[in-house]
Amino acid sequence: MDENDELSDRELDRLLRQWSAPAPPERLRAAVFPEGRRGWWGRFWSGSVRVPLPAACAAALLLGLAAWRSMAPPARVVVVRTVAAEVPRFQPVLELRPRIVKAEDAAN
Amino acid sequence: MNPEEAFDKYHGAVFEFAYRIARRADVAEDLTQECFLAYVRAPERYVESRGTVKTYLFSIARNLALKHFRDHRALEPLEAEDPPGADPRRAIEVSAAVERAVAGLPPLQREALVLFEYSGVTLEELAAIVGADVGTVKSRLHRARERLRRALAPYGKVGNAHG
Repeated sequence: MDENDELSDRELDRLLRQWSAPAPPERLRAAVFPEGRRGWWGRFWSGSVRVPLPAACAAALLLGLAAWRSMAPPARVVVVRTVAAEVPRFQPVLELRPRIVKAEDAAN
Repeated sequence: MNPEEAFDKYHGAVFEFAYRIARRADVAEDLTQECFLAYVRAPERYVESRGTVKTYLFSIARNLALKHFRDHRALEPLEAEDPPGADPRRAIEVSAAVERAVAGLPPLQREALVLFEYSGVTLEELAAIVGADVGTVKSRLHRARERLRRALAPYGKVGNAHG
């Protein structure tokens, strides 16, 4: 190959441009900035809470009971109406006068 | 510039630099991740008076790449020969030929060429990244381009012949 076969700067630049590189993967950001580095709103919307299993079971049981009670028919309410008795010419006793009666008198 | 802004602005360029040096996407991903994690963990290490965030990040990526290849003994120049049966007229073959030719450069010339030609850094930035003066990096670039000019000559002529 003689000197005339060598590439010009322009030709070399054109060839170099033909070597392309892949795009960086999306997961790179998550690898560099994990969940803990997100802002308050980011943590709010993507956060999670760990609850012990017994507490979760108890909460589920209470929720179930509450749901069952809300679905059960309401207790029957019995309304007792009282009617005032009206006795004509009834007068309550104003003064009690106890009187002891003998037995022979009682027989009469 | 905080680490998230720096990531948004430069992670693509750092990944591309790492890929062109390593020629493997998984290694480039690891190097890019380590580069930005270093900045996230200790942002106070960046001193504005020494250079821009861009040169700082490329310096970290370059050092990580050198360390990676020291550990794996993989930075030696590769053979720039074409594989048997390669058809230089096809674009994919040209791309592969350029990749092989760049990989065949000595490490210092390779990083200089990749940073200058593909990462868009200036000569001054390049000098700051590799820790050399501008004259030295210009010389490395010149020698790299001369090697590539010879290695890629057949592809240039074929490309011209076919428009």
